[in-house]
Amino acid sequence: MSEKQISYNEAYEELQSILEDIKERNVDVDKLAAKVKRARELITLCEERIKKAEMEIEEIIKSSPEDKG
Amino acid sequence: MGSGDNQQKTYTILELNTEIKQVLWDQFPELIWVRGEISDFDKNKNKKHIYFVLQEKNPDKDQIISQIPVTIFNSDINRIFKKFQEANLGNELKDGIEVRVLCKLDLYPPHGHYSIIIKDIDPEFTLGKLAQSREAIIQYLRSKNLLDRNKQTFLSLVPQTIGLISQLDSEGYTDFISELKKSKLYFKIRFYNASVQGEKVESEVCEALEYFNQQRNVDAVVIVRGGGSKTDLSWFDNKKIAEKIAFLQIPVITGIGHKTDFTITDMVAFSYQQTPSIAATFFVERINDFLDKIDALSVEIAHNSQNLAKLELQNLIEMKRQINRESTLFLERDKEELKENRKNLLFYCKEFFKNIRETVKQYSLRVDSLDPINIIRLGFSVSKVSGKTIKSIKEVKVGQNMITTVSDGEIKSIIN
Repeated sequence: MSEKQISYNEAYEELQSILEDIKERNVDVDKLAAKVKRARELITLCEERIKKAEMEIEEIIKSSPEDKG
Repeated sequence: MGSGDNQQKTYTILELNTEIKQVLWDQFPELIWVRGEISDFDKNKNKKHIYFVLQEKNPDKDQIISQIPVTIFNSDINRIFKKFQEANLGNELKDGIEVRVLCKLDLYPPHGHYSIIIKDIDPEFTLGKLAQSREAIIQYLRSKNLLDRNKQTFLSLVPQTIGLISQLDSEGYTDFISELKKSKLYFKIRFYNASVQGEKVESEVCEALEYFNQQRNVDAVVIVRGGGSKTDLSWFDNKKIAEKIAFLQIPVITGIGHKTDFTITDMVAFSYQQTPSIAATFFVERINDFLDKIDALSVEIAHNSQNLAKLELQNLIEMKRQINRESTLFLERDKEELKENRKNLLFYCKEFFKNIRETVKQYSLRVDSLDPINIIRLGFSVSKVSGKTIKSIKEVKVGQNMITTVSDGEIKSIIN
């Protein structure tokens, strides 16, 4: 699956459904490790997206024109 | 006078003029009130006595139907002007003003011109006339729904390009420009020179308004003029200017006169400001308001987006924690169940075998109890006659041989 195409919201929704599945014990034990691994990947992806957005926002704030008195 | 021959009385010109003067004075011995519109006043600058004309116009056609020369002698000038001033009608008389004056009829014999000599003036009449013509214009504009028409145009949130209508270097012009400069904001002024006093006000201001209406190159048009008397400002109580503004598709802002003045031009404008400086402030404040709002918005956006990112990060951390916990819990519960199952399995197996053993024991007990030997051992015995087990007394007869089996052997007997 290409992670570049997945949006933050999609990633977050997938995370929620994985968590839900685990809570509801709706997972085959054989597949539990794979699910947790996928969850970890999604978390990392989301964290990176947030950090990137935060940095961009900071850049924009810094580069806005002079403060008026 | 005189008889019909050539000895008839013959006047010299001076005699005639002098006599006509006497007739006039006899006919009008008292001072009389005369009303009319002032004309040709402008040429009187710096003269000792004042000469001008009072005229009467056809009210419908704006056409002069009669006029009379007027004189104010130097000795009366100050008193008359002061009275006019005190009514806030201006420092002196001006063309176009309607006046009611107390005067004496006179004829100057050397010239033969007759004229009136003003001795007093009625400022109330002029005030009333101004108010009357002003009221008539307002009524007209109201009946045509023109009073609020320009107010329905849209004024840019950042009106930086301004069409300025004023008289170059007049007080109003400089006040307006210097107030804009003070703001340090960028403005682009397109200036159209127009008289702000006198008869040319109407045509020149209308021309300027028409120019901006056609060019469409300004955000707003502003008309400014410094303070002045009621008659000075009455040039802006003008029907044509008001109509032009009403139909203009650009908002018109006015700054005419002082705080207490309110001309018809102000009345029909998009926004009326009290003075030229305040008109400039109006633009400066509008732009500053916009800048403030933009600043506040950008701060709010930055703040909110940072908060949003923080919130998302917190969600994610919570999510991570839950997944870790839930996946561990998941396995632990499974292990727990397995352990439980094994324990149960062991227990049930034991139980099963215990039961089996018990059952087997029970069975063997029962089997034992059913073995006749065991019963015989208890003292019970089986008797047979002719090989047949005897269960009833009726089965035997006297003299028959009976064999009774006991635990350790047989007893033979004969029935008697």
